[in-house]
Amino acid sequence: MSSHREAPAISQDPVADNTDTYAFVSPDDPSTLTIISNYIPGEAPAGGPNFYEFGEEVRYEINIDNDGDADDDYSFQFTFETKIANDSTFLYNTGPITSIGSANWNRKQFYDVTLVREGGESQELGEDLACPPCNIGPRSTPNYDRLADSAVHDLGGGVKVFAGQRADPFFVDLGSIFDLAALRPIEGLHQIPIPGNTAGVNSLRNANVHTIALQIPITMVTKGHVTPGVMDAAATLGIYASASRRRVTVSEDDGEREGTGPWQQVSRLGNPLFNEVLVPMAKKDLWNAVDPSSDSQFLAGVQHPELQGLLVALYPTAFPNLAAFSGARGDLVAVFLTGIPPGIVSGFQNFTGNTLADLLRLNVAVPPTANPNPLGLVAGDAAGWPNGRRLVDDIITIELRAVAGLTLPLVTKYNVDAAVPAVTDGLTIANSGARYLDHFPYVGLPHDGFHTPLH
Amino acid sequence: MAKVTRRGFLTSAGAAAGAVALGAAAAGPTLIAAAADAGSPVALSDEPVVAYVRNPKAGEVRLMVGHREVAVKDRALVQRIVSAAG
Repeated sequence: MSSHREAPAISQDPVADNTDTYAFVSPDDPSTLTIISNYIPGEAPAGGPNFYEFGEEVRYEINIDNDGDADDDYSFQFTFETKIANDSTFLYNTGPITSIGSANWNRKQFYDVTLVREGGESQELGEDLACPPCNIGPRSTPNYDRLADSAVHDLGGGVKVFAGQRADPFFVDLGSIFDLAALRPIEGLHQIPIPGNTAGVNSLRNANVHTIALQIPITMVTKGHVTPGVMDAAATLGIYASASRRRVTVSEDDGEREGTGPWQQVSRLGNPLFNEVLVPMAKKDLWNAVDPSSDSQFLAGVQHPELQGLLVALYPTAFPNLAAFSGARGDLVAVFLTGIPPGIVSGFQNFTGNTLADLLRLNVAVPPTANPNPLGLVAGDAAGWPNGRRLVDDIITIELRAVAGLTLPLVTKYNVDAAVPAVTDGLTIANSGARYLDHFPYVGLPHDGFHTPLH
Repeated sequence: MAKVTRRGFLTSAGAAAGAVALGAAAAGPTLIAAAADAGSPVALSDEPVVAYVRNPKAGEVRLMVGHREVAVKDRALVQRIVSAAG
C-alpha cells in the first residue's frame, strides 16, 4: 500500500502508522494549502466495542521545510487525550450521539495543536479540540455528516483543523501486486499467467483511516511569507508527516502505560511508496526513525530500484529497453529526493536544491486544476503528484510507470517500452469507494459499521 | 514490607537520589540500592526517572526524565547498576 504497514516495526503499531500524506493548494481557496496525514491502516468500519482512535502516547506532526535544507521550519504538532464520561459501562455510547458534546457518547477524544518553528519557538494554536466519534451506524451516529462537520475547527488566522475517522482515499490492488508484482490488466504478460478477471480489485474499498487535516494560508509558511511565482525557489515547500513515541514506555501493573524521555520518531511519510518500495526491508525501520535530511543513505535504492529488475524478470517480454538500461535512475532521484529542476518540464519546477530528502514537494504557485488528471504531472497536470499530492492522484499507476521507464526520457535519451502505457493495477479513482468532499477536510466520510460490516 | 510495584518504584526512583530503574525492557520491577554518595543534595520531584544501560561495557547510562534524555558517563555507576541487576 502507499505506506500502510510498510515497515516491520510500524506494522505492529497501527495508531502511529502514517498510511498516506497529501498536500495540495486548496481547490476552493487557492490562497491556502491543505495537508492531510492519515493513520491506522485498514480500519474495519465495524470497530466495536473499542472503536479506533488516535494514540494518546503518540505525537503526530506535519512538518514543512521552506528553504531546501530538509530541516523542519514549521512543525504542527497534534497530541490527543481520551476522556471517559461513565466508568460504569462497557459501551462506547449509551444512546444516539446527536451532537459532538452528547452525554450519550462515553469515550471522547480531544487534541491540542502546537506550532513549533525552527529554533524551538512554540505557539499553541488550539486546545481541547473535539474529534468526532467513529461512524458506528444509523442508530448510534445519525446525521454523521453534520456530526463530523462540527469537528472542523477554525483556529483563527486562516488555520483550520480536523482530526477523526474518514474513509481511506487510497486505492490499490494489494492482493495482486504483492503476489509477485502481478498486474491483472496485463497478467497475460506475467511469467506466471493466471487467466481470469483482468479488472483491478481495490483492497481498501471499505476501509477507514484516522485523518489529521490542516489548512493554512500559503504565506504563513513560505520563506519570507511571500506569494511566489512558479519558477521562484520560494514556491516549493518540502512536506512530510510523522509520528513519534516517547523513548521509553513502561507497562504498569495497573494496566496503564507511562511514557518517559524525549520523543522518538517511529513513522514518517513524504512521497507515497518511498519506504514501501525503494528501501530494503532491513532498513525500513531505520528509515522511519530518521529525518529526511539524512536520506542520502537511501540513495542507492532510488538510483537502482529493485522493482525495476522485478518488472524485467517477471514480465520477460514486456520491457526490453528497460532490461537494457543499467544506469542510475536520475529521473527517480529528481522525483523523490530533490524535486524536478527548472528546464525539465516546461514552465514548471519543484526543485529544493541538492539536499537529498524524501519530501512531498509542492510548488504552491501552481493553481489547482478544475478537472484533475489522476496521472498528475506525467499527464501534463502540474497540480498533481509529484507536485504535492491530491486525493485523486493514481499513485500506483504513476509510480509503476515511472519505475518502468516512463520518466527516464526527462533526463536521458531513452525509448520508453511500448508496454509502459498499459502498466496499471487496473484501478482508477472510481474504484476508491471513498466519497471525496469539495471542501475541507476533503477526505470522504467514513464507512459506517452497520452498512459496511466487513472489509 | 510494603509491596513494591513498578509505578511505586518509579516514583521512588524519582524521589530518591541515586535510585534507578533499569531500562524499560527489563522484566518486572527491580529495586536496587541507592548510590552510596549521590553528591550535593538536589531538589527532588515526583517525576519518574528511567535509567537505560544499553551497553554496560561503554560505561554510559541514559536517564529518561520528563521529555529529556541525559547521557551520563560513569563506569562506577554503571557497574553498580549491573551488579544490582544480578
